[in-house]
Amino acid sequence: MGNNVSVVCTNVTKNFGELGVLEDINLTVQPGEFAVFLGPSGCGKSTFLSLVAGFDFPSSGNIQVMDMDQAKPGKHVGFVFQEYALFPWKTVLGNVESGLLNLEKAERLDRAMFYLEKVGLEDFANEYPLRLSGGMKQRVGIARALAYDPDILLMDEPFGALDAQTRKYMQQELHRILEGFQKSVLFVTHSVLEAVYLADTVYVMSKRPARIVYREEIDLGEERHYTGDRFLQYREEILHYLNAQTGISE
Amino acid sequence: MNKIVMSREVTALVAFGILIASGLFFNIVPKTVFSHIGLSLYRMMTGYIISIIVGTTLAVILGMNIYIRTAVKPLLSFLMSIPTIAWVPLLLIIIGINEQSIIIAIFLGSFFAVVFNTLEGFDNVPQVYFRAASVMNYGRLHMLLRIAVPASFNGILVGWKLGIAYSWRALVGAEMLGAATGGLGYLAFASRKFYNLGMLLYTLAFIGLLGYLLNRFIIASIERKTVRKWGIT
Ligand SMILES: Nc1ncnc2c1ncn2[C@@H]1O[C@H](COP(=O)(O)OP(=O)(O)OP(=O)(O)O)[C@@H](O)[C@H]1O
Ligand SMILES: [Mg+2]
Repeated sequence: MGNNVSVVCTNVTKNFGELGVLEDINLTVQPGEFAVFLGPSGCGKSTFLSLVAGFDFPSSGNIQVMDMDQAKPGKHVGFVFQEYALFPWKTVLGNVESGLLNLEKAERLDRAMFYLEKVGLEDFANEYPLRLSGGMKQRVGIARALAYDPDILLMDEPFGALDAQTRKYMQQELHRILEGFQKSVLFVTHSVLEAVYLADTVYVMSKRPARIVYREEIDLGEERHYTGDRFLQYREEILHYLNAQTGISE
Repeated sequence: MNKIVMSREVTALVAFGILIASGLFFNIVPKTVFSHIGLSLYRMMTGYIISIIVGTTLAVILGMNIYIRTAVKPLLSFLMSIPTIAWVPLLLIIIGINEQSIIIAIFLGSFFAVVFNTLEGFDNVPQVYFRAASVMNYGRLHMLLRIAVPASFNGILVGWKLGIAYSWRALVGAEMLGAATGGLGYLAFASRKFYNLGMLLYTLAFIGLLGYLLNRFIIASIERKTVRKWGIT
């Protein structure tokens, strides 16, 4: 297989014993594509990302990642965990440096500080995660995942713990950070606004066992705003499909 | 200032000082009490430190493999349930009535607890840390030393803490069972022989206070620099 796609899922199904979590997922993510996944709570979004990362295997079907026939963990993947997963025994800086052990000390420090500045936490470099708020921990997690320059970013509700202002700021920042890089992003969120703002492609998943019930390519042109006819149209449509899955009547 | 006044270590240390001073002043304990204390502490630290080094290293090696880990834990749990004092007659037969027997008794006292609790700590490391490390290409060794060890440090410290308590008991027991001609256990036993109840009670108080102080000074200071600072207690 060539390098012309980042992630290819073919008939991916996942069960935990009796519990069916993913059912017949088929999708392709191109290099540089920003794919956003929405779906009811507990439907299997995190499970899906951990299969793409190679933490766990599909029960049937296959996931190709980059030039690998099967997904397996490695530095081609940056993972931002829903539960942060910062190392409590390392400082903020130490956490961001933990994926850069192959570099010289000075370069490692430079690179880590660069990404800490990007997420606005350079002043907290020497604090332990214990002292950070949920939103700050998430930003450290993002810096840690970006620092070693992975090809694919898997982000599990990375802005879930942020206040509305910081969240918007981080959405714009992420968009800006990724500009110019050919990174593919698989991004899970519960916010339709966030999805439309960030995505090239939006997927809506069904209740468990999750299937893809909706796929739409978002084309907002160069301008990204949170308003405008096109934007609101996308939002309405996605909301419609999502509500159908969560059982909310309109 | 407030901190110093309130500190439990200092309170215990002061109590210990007063106890010794009064014991000497009223001639309840012999002047040789210091050499008995010194001897006990020396034996204790030798056996204990060896057990920490050997036990922790062994646990880290065993911990690399989940199957070995699962297999040895019941065995360790069995060995841990044998009161260390029960080993002493065996040691006296095999090794003889000498210094080595006492040190080995101390070693055995903490060794099993150290290995068991370190392995237990490894089992309780949240999986998400290993996942985070695996996308950063951590190999087996890095996974173990950079993730598993710090992440389970709380469990490791539980082993070290229990180790102190068990070792200290083993020491006093071994000294009492006639393996020694000095030390606090010997002193307690000697006072019984002469019906010296005052000396016996004083010696027991020394044993208790020193056991407590060892624990506080060794473990509490490590805790402050690690698990408390990281918030993983
Ligand atoms: N290792 C596992 N073993 C057994 N069941 C699991 C495991 N991991 C996840 N599940 C189950 O799979 C289902 C999907 O979980 P998952 O975490 O993927 O949902 P999610 O869509 O990410 O939910 P949320 O939006 O709340 O984060 C849940 O019912 C969960 O209990
Ligand atoms: Mg989830």
